[in-house]
Amino acid sequence: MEKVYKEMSLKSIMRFLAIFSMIGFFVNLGLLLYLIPKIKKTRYHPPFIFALACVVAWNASEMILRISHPPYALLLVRSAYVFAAFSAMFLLHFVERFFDRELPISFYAIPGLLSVFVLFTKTMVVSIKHIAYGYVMEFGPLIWIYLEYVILVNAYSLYLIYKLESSLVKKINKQRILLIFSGVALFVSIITITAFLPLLGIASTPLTGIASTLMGMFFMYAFSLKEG
Amino acid sequence: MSGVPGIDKLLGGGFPSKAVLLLRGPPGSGKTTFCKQFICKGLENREFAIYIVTGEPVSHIKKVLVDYCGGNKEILKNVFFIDCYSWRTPRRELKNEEGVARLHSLLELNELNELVKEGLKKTKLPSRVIIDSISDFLMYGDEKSVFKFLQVFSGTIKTNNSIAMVVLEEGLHNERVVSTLDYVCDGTIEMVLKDGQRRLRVVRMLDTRHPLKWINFSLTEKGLEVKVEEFFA
Repeated sequence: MEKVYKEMSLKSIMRFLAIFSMIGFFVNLGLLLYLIPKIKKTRYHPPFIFALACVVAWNASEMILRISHPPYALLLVRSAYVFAAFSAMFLLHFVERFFDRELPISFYAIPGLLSVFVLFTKTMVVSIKHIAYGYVMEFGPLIWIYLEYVILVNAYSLYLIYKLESSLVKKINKQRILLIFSGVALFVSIITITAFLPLLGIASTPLTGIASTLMGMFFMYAFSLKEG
Repeated sequence: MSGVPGIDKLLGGGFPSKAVLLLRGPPGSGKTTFCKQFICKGLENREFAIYIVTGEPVSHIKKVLVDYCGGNKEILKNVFFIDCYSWRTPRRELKNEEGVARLHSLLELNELNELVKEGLKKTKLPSRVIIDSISDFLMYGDEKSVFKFLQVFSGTIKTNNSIAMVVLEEGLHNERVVSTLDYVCDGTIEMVLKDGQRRLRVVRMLDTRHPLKWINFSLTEKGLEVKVEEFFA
């Protein structure tokens, strides 16, 4: 009986932790739904919307993993990693467009093919095990290359956002870009820390959800700023 | 530094130090805004400026420059205006203003060159000079006199370690005039306004290797800017 109670309380902690991913999911989904009708408005909208969609999908995967123990948990966690990488790539594409640069198709094609490979092989995430209030993963050798790639792409995006902000002349636009920079910087910093925790055997924390919630809120604030 | 995002990067750091540049484009493409931003960047760097105005009142330009420079009226002390606009107004209605010289006709090109020389002699600071626009002189005077004026003007600019920007309204002049001005100047920047989209590119620039790439920009009340505005709208 005591064991059943303990198991139930652990399950409720896990579900409670899912709230963070859920909030992140809904905040970013709200912004995504607001932006989707504007997808053709400027050439900057599509990559930004795709990046946001990847963050939403990533949040959804996290949320499902925390609420239940689905039989496809391994595929779900692998896809969460793929979404994280693609959100970073789309974000870079978004910023590059402000500098009138286009990324080659290989920028997406090569990671796309690699994604299919890591989704169905044990090269990046070998296994997932649900424990107490989280889950631990066993990683394959590709995780290091993956982490380095995502961190580098995000760091370069941040550098470009900073350059973009310094080239602007209008105060409100500077503020908007600064908010985007802050949201991404905060998100990337937290995610980088979170990414290394499972490698140390620490059960996944709700930090990802908190980070994406904060990023979504920064983005929303940037869009809500009006002149005058 | 030009003061316009994208251009400095395209030129690998900015404009050459001693040069006369031609800024050409159709009305509404952002040439005057570019000039004001260019002057403002110089004033922020404690440079001197000479503004030769043909198309709008000096008072309006003063207001815009102060606005571009964050409301700092002190910057106007470093600007010498040559007013080629007020000749349309009866002389008795004009008041003398400090830092403003007037040309009473657009045919007085020798006097204009003298005023520029005087203005540049007054300062030891690096200077930026704007002629906005040369099209007015071409409309009222004969082409040869304007080309000759520009040759002398170019010499004055270079001997005084300055940089000048000459604005040309496209569509008002024949191809020969445009080509001659391209030849007389050390560099050309082209601006266009097509399908509601403003773009610019460096066509040629003295001693500079640059791509012939178009840069999209939007016009804000603070100057030319990479297109951020539309994304958040």
